[in-house]
Amino acid sequence: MKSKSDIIDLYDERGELIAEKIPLQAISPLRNRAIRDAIMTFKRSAIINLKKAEHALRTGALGSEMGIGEDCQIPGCEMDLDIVANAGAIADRIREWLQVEEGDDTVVEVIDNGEMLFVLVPTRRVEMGSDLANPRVNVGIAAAHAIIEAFGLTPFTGTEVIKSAIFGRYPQSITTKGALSGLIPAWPPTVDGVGLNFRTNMVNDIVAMTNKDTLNGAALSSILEHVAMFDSGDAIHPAYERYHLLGLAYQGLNADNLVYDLVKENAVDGTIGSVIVDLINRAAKDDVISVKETLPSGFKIYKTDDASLWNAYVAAGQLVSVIINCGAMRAAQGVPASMVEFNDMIKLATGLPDIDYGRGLGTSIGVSFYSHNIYGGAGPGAFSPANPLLRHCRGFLAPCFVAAMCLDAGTQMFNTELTSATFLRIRDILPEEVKKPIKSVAEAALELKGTLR
Amino acid sequence: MKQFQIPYPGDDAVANKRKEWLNASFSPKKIRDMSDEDIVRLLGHRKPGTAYSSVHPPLDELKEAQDPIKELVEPTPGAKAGDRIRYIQFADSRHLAPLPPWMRFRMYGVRLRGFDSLAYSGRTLLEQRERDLDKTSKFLMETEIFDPARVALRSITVHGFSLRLDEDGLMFDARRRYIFNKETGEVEYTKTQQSVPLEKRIRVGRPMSEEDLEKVATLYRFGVISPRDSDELLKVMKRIGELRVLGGLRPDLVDGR
Repeated sequence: MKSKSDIIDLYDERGELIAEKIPLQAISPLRNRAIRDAIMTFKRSAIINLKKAEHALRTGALGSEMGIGEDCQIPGCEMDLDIVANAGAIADRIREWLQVEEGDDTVVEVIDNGEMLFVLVPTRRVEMGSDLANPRVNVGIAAAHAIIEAFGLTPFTGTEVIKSAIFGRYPQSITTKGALSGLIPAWPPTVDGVGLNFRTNMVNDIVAMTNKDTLNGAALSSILEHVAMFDSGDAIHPAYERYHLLGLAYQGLNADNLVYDLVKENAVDGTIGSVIVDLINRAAKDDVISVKETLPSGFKIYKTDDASLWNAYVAAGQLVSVIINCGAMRAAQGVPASMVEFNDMIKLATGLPDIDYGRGLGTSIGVSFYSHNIYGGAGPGAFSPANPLLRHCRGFLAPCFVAAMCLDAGTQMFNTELTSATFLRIRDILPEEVKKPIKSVAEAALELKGTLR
Repeated sequence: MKQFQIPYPGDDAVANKRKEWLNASFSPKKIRDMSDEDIVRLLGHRKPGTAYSSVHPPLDELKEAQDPIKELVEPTPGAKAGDRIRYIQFADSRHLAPLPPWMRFRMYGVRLRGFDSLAYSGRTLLEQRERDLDKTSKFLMETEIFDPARVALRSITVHGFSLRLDEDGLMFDARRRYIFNKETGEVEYTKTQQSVPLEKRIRVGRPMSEEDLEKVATLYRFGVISPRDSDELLKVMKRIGELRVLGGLRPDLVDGR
């Protein structure tokens, strides 16, 4: 097994060197400040859609969940409260109740003239909490109390429906479909297994957060995916830790400029096939693979002394094949097709395993199957990596979906504006670690240079 | 298009034919002429001579956030114009169709920029921006990729094709989209791929003989070249299977192999 002492160079989305000779461990979610900050931003976040709460109370359409459809209107409990107009006062109360100490890291931002509040609860509350619901529940209850106080409500004048406007029908139902959400959409009772929380964002959510920047979108998706692997126990063995860190580096963070170089070489006249040939040549040139045996026909079987690095190269190549094919079409729907063809052909061309030891190919075929033809359902942007269709490939598929949706020029019915409008509205106030992860992670990695073996 | 050859194991007729399709500079033999109008009629998405409909404004008029990758990657003409995405779907027979579904899919991956495809149960879907698709469809219908008897244009009711051949050697089609004209010896389409009747029949030429099909076939089969004789391919596939299993447990088990 290779040691942990790998050294990488990180390049930005324009192919310019931003961090030279970085130890691989410097991009670990356990060490890298920017990744840890991004993760804390996700965990600390809560979003309250005040306009939605106001509308729900005004119409009596509360709970928003029935066996069929979304209609649940309760005549007689309507309340006409100017919540949006009073957003400032509500935000001040929430801030005061959430913060542990004056001047701590609590953030309460009023968005779109009070239509929405973006909240980051203080870190100490997250440390005290037992699960991801903690920040959101606290913010939701704080918002309810703030509305009750702002409008002088009592149990005789309608306090009971304020909770429904914010939390939806929870806890009668395990879901919340009220005005409350967060950067991680997962609501703990609904998450289908352990270690999946960071995979519950829809592809379009990531596209919105990174403002449709292809490589930064892929980077944020890759970070969340591999953090989920650390979260779920998949990165616990040294071999697997390195496997995931190399995947994050080469596919997500444009390590050694591999992704950018391959895109540039194939940008004008390349196809999935030419990306495969270029990747094999590059891997051979970088001594990642070498010829093991030449068969009588002249076909070369390759071997690798570093299978995790080969997997990372394949992950980068797969992302490039998606960028070239979906980028030429400026449409996202070809993403599973690109991944299927890339993996199918590269394994036969080298005699080496494809992405994630076949899991990527299998998952891509499943996605093709269930998103086309008679089984056609949601578009690529509406999938989340925690979806049973996508979760089996451990971190290498979702970044390709995000890249494809960033490149889509408007062909998808499930587009970012439709599914992830909330994230489009808050993206400006998100920290750089979330909006521009490539640069932020590289800068944080530079801080660790020389301190790690 | 860039020139390249994707390596493929084997040196028998089938493997060599597969290698041809994995070569970007390979030009398949053109065996018929079809007018642009007939292609548009068969596709059935719009009337010949009508304008392409669009799904979004031309890229030049779109206001997009700055992205270095979007600046690098050259869009296809259809994408530039904002064309709708349209489809063509082929069913390829198990009885010596020139390209079985997975080979057709690979060929798309080698030759086409900006496509979506899916090989599923004998049918192979191809979706592209409409003007790109028109061009690709002409190429697919005019060359040796299309044999009128063993390849069919079907967007709905695809099933049944691989199980039996009709009395004229054509693939069974529950929608009866095409017929064999015994007087001319040619196959004629009477319906579009969606099975909407055409105003006039469209001739797609004579079916190839069994001997010619065997020469162009890219499928190993008993009686032609047995799959058991594809030594190199089997060796590579077994190796990939073994390495997938080992790496699936722990990646470093593949190191040095």
